[in-house]
Amino acid sequence: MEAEGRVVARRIGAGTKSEHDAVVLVTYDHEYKLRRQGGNPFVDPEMSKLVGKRIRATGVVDSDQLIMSNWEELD
Amino acid sequence: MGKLILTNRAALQRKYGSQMSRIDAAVAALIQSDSRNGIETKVIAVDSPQAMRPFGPAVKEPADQRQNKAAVDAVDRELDPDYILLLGSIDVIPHQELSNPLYRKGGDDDRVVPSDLPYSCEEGWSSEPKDFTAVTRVVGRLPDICGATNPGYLIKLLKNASRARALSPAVFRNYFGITAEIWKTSTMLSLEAVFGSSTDLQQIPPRKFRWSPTLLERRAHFINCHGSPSSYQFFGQPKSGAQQYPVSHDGTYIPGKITSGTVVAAECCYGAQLFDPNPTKMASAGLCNVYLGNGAHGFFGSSTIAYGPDITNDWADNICQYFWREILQGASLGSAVLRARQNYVKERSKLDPVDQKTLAQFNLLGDPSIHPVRVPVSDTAVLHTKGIGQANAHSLSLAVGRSDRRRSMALTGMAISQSTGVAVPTARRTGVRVSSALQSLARRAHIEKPEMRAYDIDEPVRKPASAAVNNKHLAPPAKERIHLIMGTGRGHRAQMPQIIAIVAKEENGQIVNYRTGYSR
Repeated sequence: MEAEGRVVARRIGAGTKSEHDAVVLVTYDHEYKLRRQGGNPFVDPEMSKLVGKRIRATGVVDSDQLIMSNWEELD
Repeated sequence: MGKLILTNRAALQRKYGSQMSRIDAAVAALIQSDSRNGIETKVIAVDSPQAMRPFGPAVKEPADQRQNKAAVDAVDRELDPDYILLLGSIDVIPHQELSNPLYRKGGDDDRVVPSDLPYSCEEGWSSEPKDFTAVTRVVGRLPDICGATNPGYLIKLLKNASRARALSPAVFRNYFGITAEIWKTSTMLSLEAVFGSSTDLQQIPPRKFRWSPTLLERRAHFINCHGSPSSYQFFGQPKSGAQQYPVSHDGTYIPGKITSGTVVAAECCYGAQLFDPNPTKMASAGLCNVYLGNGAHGFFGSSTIAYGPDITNDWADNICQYFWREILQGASLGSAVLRARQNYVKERSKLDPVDQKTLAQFNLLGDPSIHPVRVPVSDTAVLHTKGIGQANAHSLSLAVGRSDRRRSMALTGMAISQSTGVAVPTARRTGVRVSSALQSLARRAHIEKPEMRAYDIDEPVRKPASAAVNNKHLAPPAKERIHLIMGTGRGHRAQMPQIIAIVAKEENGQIVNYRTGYSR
């Protein structure tokens, strides 16, 4: 799938064994936790670099995570 | 009847095409092996109208959960098997997706809890986990890889099951136990409860995932780490609570290093999630698949986000402990799961929302008839059986009285359920006094912006008992409610802000106890 939106940092998984600070893509109708194919799903410096930017991402969605195979910065 | 292998032949055919004959041969070998062990095994394709004719409607759409649940129930009713083996992953026979009583956007994001629990219960189809507290059937799943086209993996799993033999208890004395450092205290309690010692616990950090062969080759594995959806790794975290998640276990590292007969209990979020690794071109399938593909006989883990406190034991800790205790006492993999679920319900008597999710999310991957641990049993069966090799004596002895044991476990499951209440959301207002107590709990735990949810207790309908029992004077039940407080806070140990969940019990307008789960 393809999704476009702004990237923000946010705490997710609140109150669970997998709670952590995550990088989230906010689109016009949905929010996806961003994860890079092959990257650490909890902390990935490459993902942190995207915070504050608008991106268009391509990948697969599982449990509200967008596992990205590709992305481009739009601004 | 001994063991039922249920599968969807059309779904398998769609994946493996002309190579189905190889799977058929492996299934036939398993049936022969079972027969030598005193287990009569039958295969039924739930999608075959002919095979299903004596029982009920065949499954028309492989992904239809209602149809699959109805088919399993219909066959179970007629044949009353000691074991049910679901053959294939969730694209062959789907999990039943139950609603998540803890769903909260930005918190517990699991909209549903994929589960095999409903297949273990007599209750008809439902999407509510509270409807599946009477656990009576011995069920396990031998999964292939989602989306696979090469049947080699599934054939390997069938062969492993055919060759399974119970091993000496001594083999399971030394465990491979790993934990995120932040949950060290909780995991130590679990290991001590199961294995009597926690001195060999490996913590990540400081340890890393390249475990020595001497650790990985141990047959008892207990894992309490972070997990993530569609991932072939587990992760640690330092005790400081810092947001660092070093890899603790890796599906690309362990192949060839696991010993045949290994059994795993993993508390990790998504530890037993079955997913297709192909769309994201993953380097490996999920760890549960990797374990089974490398000779492990059983993997007990969660399909979704799991729960547990950091310095005590609860929820995921408990159900994994119950499973391992049964295994070490000689139970089959399937019986261990059945009893673990029954014990989980029995020990609580009221199932709060976290309990309901925990009960639903832990599934057994593996042939449920395998007994990992050999225990002394009567050899009467062997004396009366001709031409049986010594290697199968233990299995044959276990066959004696198996149906009685199943009947007893089924009755136990129903009895436990009939004395267990479940929490159901309520719109009724919380009294001022209780509300004030809850706010106080939230303040004491330093929870910022607490979200409160209230639940009534749905008490079971008791069946008529004997006159003597009916005449016994019992105190009227207290007016009970469960309250869930979730929110962010700053914990007593973590440096980072964290989320805290408190489950509080109200009786007659007072909070009488509570359980706290600090975020991890």
